[in-house]
Amino acid sequence: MNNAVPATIVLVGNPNTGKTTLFNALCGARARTSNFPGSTVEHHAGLCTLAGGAVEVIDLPGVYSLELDLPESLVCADCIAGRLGPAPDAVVLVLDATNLQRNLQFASSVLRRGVPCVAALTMTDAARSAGLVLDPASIGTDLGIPVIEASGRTGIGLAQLAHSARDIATRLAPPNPAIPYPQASPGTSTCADWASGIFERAGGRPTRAGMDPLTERLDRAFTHPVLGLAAFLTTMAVLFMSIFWLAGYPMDAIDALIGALAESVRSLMPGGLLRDFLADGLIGGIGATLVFLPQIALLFFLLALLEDTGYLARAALSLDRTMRRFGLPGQAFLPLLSSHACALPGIMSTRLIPGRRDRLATILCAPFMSCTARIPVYVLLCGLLFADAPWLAGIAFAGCYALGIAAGLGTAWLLRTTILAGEGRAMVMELPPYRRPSLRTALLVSRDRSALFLRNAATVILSISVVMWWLSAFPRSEPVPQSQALRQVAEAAVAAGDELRAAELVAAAESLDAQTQARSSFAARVGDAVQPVFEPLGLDRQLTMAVLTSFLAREVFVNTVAIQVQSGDDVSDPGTMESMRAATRDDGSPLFSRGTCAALLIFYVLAMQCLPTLVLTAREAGGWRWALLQLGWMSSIAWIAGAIAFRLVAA
Amino acid sequence: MGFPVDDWQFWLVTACALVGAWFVLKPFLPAAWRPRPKPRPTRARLTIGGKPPDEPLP
Repeated sequence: MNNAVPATIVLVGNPNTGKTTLFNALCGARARTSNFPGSTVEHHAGLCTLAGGAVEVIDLPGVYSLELDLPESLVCADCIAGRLGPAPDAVVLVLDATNLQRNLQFASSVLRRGVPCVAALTMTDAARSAGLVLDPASIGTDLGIPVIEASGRTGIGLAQLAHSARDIATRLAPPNPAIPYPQASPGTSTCADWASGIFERAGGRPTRAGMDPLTERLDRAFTHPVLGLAAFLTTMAVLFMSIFWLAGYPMDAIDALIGALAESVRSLMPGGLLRDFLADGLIGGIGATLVFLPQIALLFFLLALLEDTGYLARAALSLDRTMRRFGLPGQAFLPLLSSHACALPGIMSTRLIPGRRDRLATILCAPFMSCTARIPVYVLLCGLLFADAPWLAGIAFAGCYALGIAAGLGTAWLLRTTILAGEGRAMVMELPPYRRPSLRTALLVSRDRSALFLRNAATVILSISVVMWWLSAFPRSEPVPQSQALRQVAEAAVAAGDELRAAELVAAAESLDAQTQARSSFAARVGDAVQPVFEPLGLDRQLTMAVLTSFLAREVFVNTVAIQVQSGDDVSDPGTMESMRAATRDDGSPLFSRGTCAALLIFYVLAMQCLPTLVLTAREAGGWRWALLQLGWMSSIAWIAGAIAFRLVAA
Repeated sequence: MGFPVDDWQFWLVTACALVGAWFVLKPFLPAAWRPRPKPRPTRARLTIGGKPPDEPLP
């Protein structure tokens, strides 16, 4: 092996064996997340630095078998065989001590491939508390590879595991060829007997038939049709309310920082197009989106903590029963949950669903799930609707998620009882044990998602901000007679020595000119032309323009409004939320009335408003007719529900 | 006033807007118009007689 190229080690194992915790402990903040080429399967790669040099560690998705016709299984098998790039130098088999017999059957299918292996025996603390003490050396002798007790949480055995893996990788030592690893075939007991033999020789014995009484009681409650659903809704409501409360402080700080930055640009640069472009287009546009970063980071941090406790798997099971009533298969839960991050990976992961009708129904209802791009819009509108009651804003925020889920399930039911009618399939899933969540893992997940959001802000949102500023700034309008008159009075005030009065008059003249500019720009002309369509939702030309631009990406709504508001009103207004709250229409009425906020909120929960999702639907569903059906259906119900909400709230 | 074509700042901000428009529209352009991503370099192992060079030859 060339020392200049680090050895590559892959982590494989069944789901919930502690692979990712082990990976995070080995690589920490140096990890990156990406998809395998040509697939939607995510993997994490990072560098683990050791005394004698670094090794590259790849965390593969958890699978029950390498032989299944599922994307994850195929990717794992291809990665081990070197079909996705250079073959790994060593494989770290992650074996869960609490489920050793089943894990050993998976190990057999990896060892049969003759790749250099080392095994990490995890969850030994949980096994010990259940009265199960296993001897890693005995398992190692039977498997013909080193077996090391390791824990990503406590750090026990990590260094030994990393060094052993590198040693195996350097020597490219295959497992003992004298050991006949059985093939795990359905319907045969050879592999199960082999695994049981190893388990018993390592000191294992049949575990108690029943599980821990507390776990049993909690499982009964969390998976109960009514209690489980109630627990899920309560958990989500508390989660979102906490986000609103906790994220408020960093949001205010970022808002103030952006305001100060824009203000210093205005005070340091001479007046002109470039100064306006930097202050309003770049800083104002990007800042209006960046302000929501704490919410996104906090949401994913808390969700990762919740997932780590083992609760989300129970919630999945509890929701599965509900979902099946709407004609969706159990396998649809994961794509729909992924769609809460972004509809694109959600729709891509529907490839896991075997039936075409089930898959189409899931694809068509996935964009109803509230993705992260909607968060800035929800935060802005909920904050404007309930400015003085954060707890009500939190409930409204959670309500948006609930409405999205309800609309998605309703759509699925409609599809499965009409154009996609047919039988569904049952879902099988393993419930992980309840665990103390890992703060480190949650922080890393939060960092990954925040980085994704920032990357988007630095590319798409920045580009749209620049274009929107240009469309709002040109063509330039002539100064109106009133502003010219104000400037003449200001000159007279300067001559009389009244500087303060002169400054006030100049500011009033600039405000008048800015308002005229906002009404005659390209953006205003497009907004004026389309505005009648959105009149029933109470939108004016500025909000209409924001809705139109946000068809490319929903979060663009916020910065489009911010740019129009900043170029059309008092430019010295500091905070994003404050300037939005104070923004007015051409007739002087508030831009965001209560009725408009409610209508927009409902509209953004239900509307498609995402061109990349539309393109992906056409590709995954096998034709543009499905994508156009999705666009037509979502836009229609969003428009109708938004108009109803406007009438009800404005009345 | 329309477009202040005599102002160099106008041309600078317009150029920035055109670059922004290109980034926005790029994903929706026909595949033939899009710039092709550079192929990722593949890793190769250096061996002498099938052995890594840092290992002493027999």
